[in-house]
Amino acid sequence: MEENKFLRNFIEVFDEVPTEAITMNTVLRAIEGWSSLVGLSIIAMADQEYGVEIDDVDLRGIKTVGELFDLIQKKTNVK
Amino acid sequence: MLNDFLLEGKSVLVTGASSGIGRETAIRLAEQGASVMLTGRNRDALNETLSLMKNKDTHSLFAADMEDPSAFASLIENIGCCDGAVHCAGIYKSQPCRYISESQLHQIMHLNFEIPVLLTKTLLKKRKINKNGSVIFISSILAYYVSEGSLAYGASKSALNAAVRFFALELSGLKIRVNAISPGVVKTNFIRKNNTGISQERIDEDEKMYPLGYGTPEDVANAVVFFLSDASKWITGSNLIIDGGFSLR
Ligand SMILES: NC(=O)c1ccc[n+]([C@@H]2O[C@H](COP(=O)([O-])OP(=O)(O)OC[C@H]3O[C@@H](n4cnc5c(N)ncnc54)[C@H](OP(=O)(O)O)[C@@H]3O)[C@@H](O)[C@H]2O)c1
Repeated sequence: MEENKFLRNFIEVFDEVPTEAITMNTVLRAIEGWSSLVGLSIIAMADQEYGVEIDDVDLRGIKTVGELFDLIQKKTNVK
Repeated sequence: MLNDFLLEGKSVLVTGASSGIGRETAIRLAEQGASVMLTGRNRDALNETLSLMKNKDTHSLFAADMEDPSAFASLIENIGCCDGAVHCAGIYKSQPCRYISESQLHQIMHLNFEIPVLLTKTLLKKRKINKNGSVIFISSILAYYVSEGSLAYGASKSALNAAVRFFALELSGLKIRVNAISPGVVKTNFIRKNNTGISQERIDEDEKMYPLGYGTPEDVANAVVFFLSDASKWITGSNLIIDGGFSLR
């Protein structure tokens, strides 16, 4: 899994968050515009881009963008 | 009066009879005296439904994947005349609007809207729905009340709701009645198997929005009995919302 591609996919989830504002260390819930719809969109992104299923409990356990990357990567490897 | 709710002598087609609302509907219809034609994809699950029904030898079973055109055609060929049809087969997929994929949009529209419409149309053309018959489409409150991630599903059920009214008008000459039932969340596998990403906790939280809690398949099946029975003989083109009070808020 490639980090830059992942960050691009991640940014697409948001309406208007600037690309520079997101790094692997960004805290998810601190991103402006974070909402339950964003949560749903991340789940859909993981499904469509990486073919992995995550749910909102998984998501709740995650703090940073990097942790989300790790989780998706872990799930892709399991498959 | 109560006899009006019996379905004796009526033959009824039920789609989605292998699971959830369709299964419970088949069981209830048999209890009320109907002979039921059960269809769904999973033959074992259809047999399990049959094993739970009264008067087993009066029913028949047709396993078919309605997305497969040849299976769909042979299903229509093989089923006999009916006095009623209950369209329960359906799918859901949660997709925020910017993640709707073309293939999933097509699949949801196809299975939830086109298939029930085409099945009804073909049965009519082949004169397989008897005069004074009753056709019921299981829609959803998501056709009226929007919730995040349900665009494709809600649109498919809205289209179905429109179709109900056109059918109702055109079939009135044959005294065939056409109605929809729009349930709120009903406890079936539907919630779990179609909602990747939604945890049990979120579901429990959502249930609190329902003054009477989530519904059960029986709650919907009882309404189906009413719409199939002669007790509803003056009702056509209607859409019954059953949602435990969800839409009151
Ligand atoms: N449960 C709810 O909360 C709820 C709320 C509002 C409306 N509804 C509607 O109620 C209806 C029934 O839902 P349910 O809760 O009973 O769902 P369910 O338990 O998931 O049952 C769905 C049924 O549809 C059948 N089906 C799916 N794809 C099919 C295909 N390609 N060909 C033939 N049959 C197919 C399934 O057959 P197999 O299992 O054999 O594959 C199954 O019998 C649906 O139209 C749904 O939209 C449900």
